[in-house]
Amino acid sequence: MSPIMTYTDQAPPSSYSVSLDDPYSERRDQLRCASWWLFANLTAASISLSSRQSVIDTAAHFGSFERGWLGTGAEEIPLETAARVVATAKTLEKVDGLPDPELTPNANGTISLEWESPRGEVYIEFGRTLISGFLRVEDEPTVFFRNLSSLPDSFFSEVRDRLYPPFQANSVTSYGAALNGYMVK
Amino acid sequence: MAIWLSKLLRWVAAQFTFKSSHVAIGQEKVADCGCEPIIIPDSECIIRAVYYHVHCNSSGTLKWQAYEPTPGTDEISVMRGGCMTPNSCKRKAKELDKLPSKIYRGLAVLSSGAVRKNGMAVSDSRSEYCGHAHISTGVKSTITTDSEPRDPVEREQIKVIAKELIKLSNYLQDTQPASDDWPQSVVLIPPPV
Repeated sequence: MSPIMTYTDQAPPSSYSVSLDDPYSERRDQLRCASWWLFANLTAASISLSSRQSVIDTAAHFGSFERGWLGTGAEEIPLETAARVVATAKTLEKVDGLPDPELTPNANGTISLEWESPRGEVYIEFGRTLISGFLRVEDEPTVFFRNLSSLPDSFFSEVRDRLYPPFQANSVTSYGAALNGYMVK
Repeated sequence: MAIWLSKLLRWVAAQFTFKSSHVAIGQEKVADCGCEPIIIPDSECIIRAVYYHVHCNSSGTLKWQAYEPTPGTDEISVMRGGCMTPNSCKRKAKELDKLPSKIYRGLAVLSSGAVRKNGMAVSDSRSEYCGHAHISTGVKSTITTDSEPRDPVEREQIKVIAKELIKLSNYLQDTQPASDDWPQSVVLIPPPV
């Protein structure tokens, strides 16, 4: 009967060594974990033939940008940020009639999503843990929001209703209603 | 003899002081640059290098982020059309590539006079390299180091200015970005004002 092998039974490989001075070890660990997370999500999204596949792919690509990606002073795009955008893309799948947003990586390590139509514009900047941005529709005053941990569920359907009128909801909603309580005066 | 020596020393000191004054205003390479005049005339065109993913999208449309100031400043880097040829602009732009995140795609041309008419300043900044200049927009882009979003009010102000600059620019998408030179003779002309 063969003995049961456990992890502790195994002798450490003689050639394996760890440098305590390695400044990138933590980053590599993050990359490994988050890569699996992204891989799992991307696979799931591919299987379900996501209607927001290009958004998901682009956000995942931005998640690989390391410090200095745009030149001196550019911060890395954290994988957490890319993952949050991927999650948002999945939310967008439920919002018919809203085109894909324009995605842009930013030098400060964030990713911005934007919609623009003749009726107005929406700018959302995703950070590692927080979200800020603004909405402007026609002649109405711009609504700013900052340091939100998440966006309200109805946010994207309101963006669609306000910027792309053929999809206007039957019920009359006040401008920025989805952000009620979050707005910055 | 001592008087002559003293005069010689004074002359040398005067020469040194003259050069130092240039250094003080960030014009270290005035003597060797050969890019004149230092004050950019209104008639001179200025060129912005355009990179994918930040400055343009996959379909080649210029995004407002093409005119976003360098973090921590209100300055947008450009090249001087009076000092650099279209090919030297392209080579410089490609030199600043950072694959796969910053990929050269073309050049956007503006008139320095039109930029000034819109309330912005255009200045030579040859301390970066000979032919370098910058547009000062008046709205500083703050630096954040925690990978969290910036102030949305500032973002909107920067976007408004950047969209003005897009209206003033003529974007030449490079059909052969991999080659060192433009595929055919190219004239960098800003849009008519």
